[in-house]
Amino acid sequence: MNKVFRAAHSIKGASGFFGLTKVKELAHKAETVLDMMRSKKMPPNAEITNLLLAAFDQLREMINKPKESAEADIAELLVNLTGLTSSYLPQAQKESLTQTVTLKAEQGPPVVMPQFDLERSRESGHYICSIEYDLIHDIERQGRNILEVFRTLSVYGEILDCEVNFESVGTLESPIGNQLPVRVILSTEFKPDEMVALFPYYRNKIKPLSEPSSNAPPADVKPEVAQPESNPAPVAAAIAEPEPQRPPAVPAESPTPAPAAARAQAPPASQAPSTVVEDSIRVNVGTLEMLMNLAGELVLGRNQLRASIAQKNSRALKAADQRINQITSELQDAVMQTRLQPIGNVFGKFPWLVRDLAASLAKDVQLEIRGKDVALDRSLIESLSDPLTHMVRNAVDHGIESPEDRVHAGKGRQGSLAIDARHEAGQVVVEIADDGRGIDPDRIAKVALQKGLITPEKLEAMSAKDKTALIFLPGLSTNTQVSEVSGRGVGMDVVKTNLDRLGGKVEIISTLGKGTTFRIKLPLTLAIIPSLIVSVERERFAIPQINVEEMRHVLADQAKTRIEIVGDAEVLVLRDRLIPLVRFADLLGVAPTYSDPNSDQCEIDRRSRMADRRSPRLAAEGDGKPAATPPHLEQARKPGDRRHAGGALEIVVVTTGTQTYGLVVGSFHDTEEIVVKPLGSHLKGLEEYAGATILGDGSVALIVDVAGLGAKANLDAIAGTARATGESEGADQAEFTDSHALVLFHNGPEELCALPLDTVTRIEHIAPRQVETIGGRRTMQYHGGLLPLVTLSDAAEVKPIGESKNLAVMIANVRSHEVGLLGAMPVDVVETGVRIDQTTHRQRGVSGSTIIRDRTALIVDLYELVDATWPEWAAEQASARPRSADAGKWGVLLAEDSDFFRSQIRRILEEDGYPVLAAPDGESAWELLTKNLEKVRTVVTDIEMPRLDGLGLARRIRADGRTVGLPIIALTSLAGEDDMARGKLAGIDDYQTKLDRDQLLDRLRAYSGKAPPQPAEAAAAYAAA
Amino acid sequence: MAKSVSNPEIAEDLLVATFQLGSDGGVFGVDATLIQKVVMVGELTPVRHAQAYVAGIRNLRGRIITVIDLCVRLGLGAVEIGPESRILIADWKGEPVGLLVDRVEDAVAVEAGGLEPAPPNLHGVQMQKLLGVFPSGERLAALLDLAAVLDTDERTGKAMSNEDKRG
Repeated sequence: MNKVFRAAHSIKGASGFFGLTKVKELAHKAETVLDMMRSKKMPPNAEITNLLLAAFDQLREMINKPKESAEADIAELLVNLTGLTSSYLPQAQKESLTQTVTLKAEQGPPVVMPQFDLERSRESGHYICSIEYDLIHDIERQGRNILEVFRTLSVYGEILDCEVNFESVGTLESPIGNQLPVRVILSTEFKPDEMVALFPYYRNKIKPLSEPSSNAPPADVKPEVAQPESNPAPVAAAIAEPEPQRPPAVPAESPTPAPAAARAQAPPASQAPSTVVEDSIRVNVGTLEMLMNLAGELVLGRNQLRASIAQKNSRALKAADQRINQITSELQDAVMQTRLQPIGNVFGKFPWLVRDLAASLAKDVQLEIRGKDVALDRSLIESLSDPLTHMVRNAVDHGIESPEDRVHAGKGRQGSLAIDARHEAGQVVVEIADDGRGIDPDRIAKVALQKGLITPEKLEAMSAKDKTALIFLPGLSTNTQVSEVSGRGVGMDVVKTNLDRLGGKVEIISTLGKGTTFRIKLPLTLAIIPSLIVSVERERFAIPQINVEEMRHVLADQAKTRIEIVGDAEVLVLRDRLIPLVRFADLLGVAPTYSDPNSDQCEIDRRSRMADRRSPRLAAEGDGKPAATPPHLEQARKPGDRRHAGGALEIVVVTTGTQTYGLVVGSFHDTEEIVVKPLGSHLKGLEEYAGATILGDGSVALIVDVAGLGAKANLDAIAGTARATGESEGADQAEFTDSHALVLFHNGPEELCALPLDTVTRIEHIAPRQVETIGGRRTMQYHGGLLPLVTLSDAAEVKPIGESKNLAVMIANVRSHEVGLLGAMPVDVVETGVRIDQTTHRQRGVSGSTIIRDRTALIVDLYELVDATWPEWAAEQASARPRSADAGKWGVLLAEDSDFFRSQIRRILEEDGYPVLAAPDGESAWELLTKNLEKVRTVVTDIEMPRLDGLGLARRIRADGRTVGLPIIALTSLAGEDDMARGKLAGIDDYQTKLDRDQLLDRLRAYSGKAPPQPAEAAAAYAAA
Repeated sequence: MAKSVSNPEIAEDLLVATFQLGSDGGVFGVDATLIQKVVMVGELTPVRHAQAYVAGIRNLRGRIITVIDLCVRLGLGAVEIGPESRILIADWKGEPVGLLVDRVEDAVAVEAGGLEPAPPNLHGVQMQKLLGVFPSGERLAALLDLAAVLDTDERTGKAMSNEDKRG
């Protein structure tokens, strides 16, 4: 509401500034209505909203064509808006709407303003003052920006009016171009002298305005009025555009302000043919400047290069190479930036479209738009506009039923339409979902059949989804009857063609009577992508980095334990996940055993049965199933098996967002920034490739489409069995987005260590002499007491801390004691999204490791360190706060998306005797909860999780009668007061910091202590889950 | 497209780029105006799972072009890449496409009316891919209908048949 109001307001201000009187008038009326709504003097209803939208439509029209704006017919709108306003005003105030009042200024012409405005500002105890700026001297020459000034002013008050003071220009003898005074009328709660104090620079320009009755204070003399300097050019520049220079001495323009100002305002683009407009792009000045700088640097780099070539100086050559390399990548980034635009540019018109359309069809539609910020390549945005508009129109027109029909169907009168854009593993997904009548696949099929678009035989083989997709057939669309019958189908072929051209895919998910979702997947056709280059039998392929999760090198002797057969598929055991494996060479048919030229025909067989042949066990089974694999292939594979079994495996774990699999390749090469080149028409339809690229040595490599390749490998079947761990899919996605704040420090000079930031309360820098060793235990003086100190080497098998001159002490609260962990400088805090490996470096005191800036960092487990040094603390704590007798039956449901935190918190809870059910996201937590209603006594949840976040989970728990009373503890690293308030609203009882073990356990004890006795349940029952 | 482009030209003099294909050295030709240049075979990157007639893809001055093995395409076996093999870069609907041939012969001017209807099954090539035959030295050379040869319909046959029915 405030935003709209401010927008109307800025339009009014700016139009006054440019002399667009009609625009100003209309904007003013709209603003008045909005203001009344804002101050709750007028209830928002459909009539008012429609009127306002109409007014804004007209405003936009006028602003886009400023020259014609003076001729626009706005009388009706004005009358309506005024009528609207006055109908909600008390009688006494009604007249003020149409009356104007003249305020006397100390200098310059008197100010004419609507009485209504004056009364309004007086009502709120505001002062009205005028502030004058000279556009040239005060703004342009000072390097300011008029918008900035307006913004500053609007912080302190309400800008009632703004105009270029042409008369004061006229009274001066200096050349007209030399000054351009602008007067802003501000309604502010500050007294004029306070305003002067706020804007000391403008002390002479802020003037109170007096009402007709009162006496004006003595007039000031404006000091800046006549500064003779004859440089007319910046006038135009200061306003909006490089207009051809006005002749310096043409004072005749002053009597006719509007046309002059209008001319000054009209941007060149609006005068040019519209095609030119489409070809222009708005680029942030900062970006442009960066490009300029980079171009400059590039020239320097070239010079350096030429010089070093001339001198045959190889060292200088290397330096030049490095420099050019860096500039190129920066340049590339900057250029990419200029092309990226938010998809909101397309979405912007939909509220209007939907509203107008719904109104004309007498439907009630609620539009929800999400993901406006998703950035797409400019070319995509432009071409996306038409198809999206079409689909939105269709959804309102055919998808959503009339209110009566909706009520009949047992739905709410108001239909909903949701437009959602988001990134999904290298693609942009746009969904248009309505809750209307849905598409009847059989009806579509019937019509298609009638029109001879498909044969009955084909129809028989079609699934409901295939039938629905028939609406994309060109012939179907021309028949309007179809659209009435089926609900959809007008011009969908055009939509499909357009999306095809963009390289996008469109999918329909429709449930009859429930609604329809169109899901559009678009490639991020950003032409340059970082990619991992891999090779298979001397052929090289590029895998987009965005799809690469990690690379694994499985040694030959590890293969037995790391690679398992689940169901009928080979899977890689990766920490707690099972990842289906795809042998790239087999899939491509490039294995050396594959020289048989006839084999091309058998590829499909080979692909789907690849895993079988790999597994000796299944090969045996395969004999029982003669259809499984052609015998000659079975033979052909066997030498291959030996080859694989004998050597190490190089596995790239790739993900598409919905699917994760391991691609077994020949070897890894570098990561390169590759330029994506499209494949020729003869290679269209090959889903496994996203294009090709030219590598550094001039050779060509194909770019792997991870999703397409997965589809070819028939992974769906495999993925099903790979869910055996129960948490596979959700966890896969979550880990990707997970981010931990870690404090980095050194132990030995080579040992990088990390501590979760949440556990650290303070970091102190100390000198080594401050550490005192008394009785074999290290302490330091801290806040008047002694702070016990630990180092990693106290518990873990690492080198003792190096002889560093600078030590850091990470202070934390462990087992109710304040403890300092000694580390060597430098100390740093990083936010890292990388995964935490909990096996490789796990030992006492080290909970895992992660890769930070290409180095392995050990993650310190403070509790284990402390327990190793002061085992009595744990006992002390245990005796001080005895474990609740019921703890063993007190099931805790833990929802946490980060593998690391989940296992840490699980350990904390289980150590204290609570049976724990853990889930990687809210959705699976809810599932677990509903299945274990009688066991779960408390819910501990993370806030930010995929699928269903902590707030959503809390709401769901509170909404369900069975779980309404469950205590919910939220774990978070970002507990601002707002967050807490939102959490409380959602039903969260308590907020705890992640990994603050003592606090969390205290809370749990509090809950378990006061709870009624629970039916006995075997704690072991949880372990399985 | 094939008919509209080729027919008027056949009525006039035509410059034909000729080349040999297949083990028996059959001579074929294409409208030379459609050929942009002739390049050495160079490094071909195979494209797995593509149609058999795709010999691979190749870097042509920063563009990736698809190279079609004309022998495979015409059902004459496959081009055995040797020192005399060349790639003709043809312009096909604005996209450069490489035509892999065994040996490039010559550019032959075919007079108006010098083109005769192709006998059925010349060199074992389907008639619909030929515009006609013309004398080249002592032998008959076949003029290929490039549009028909490069047509991608065979991949998308289903879609086309739908449209045909409507048409």
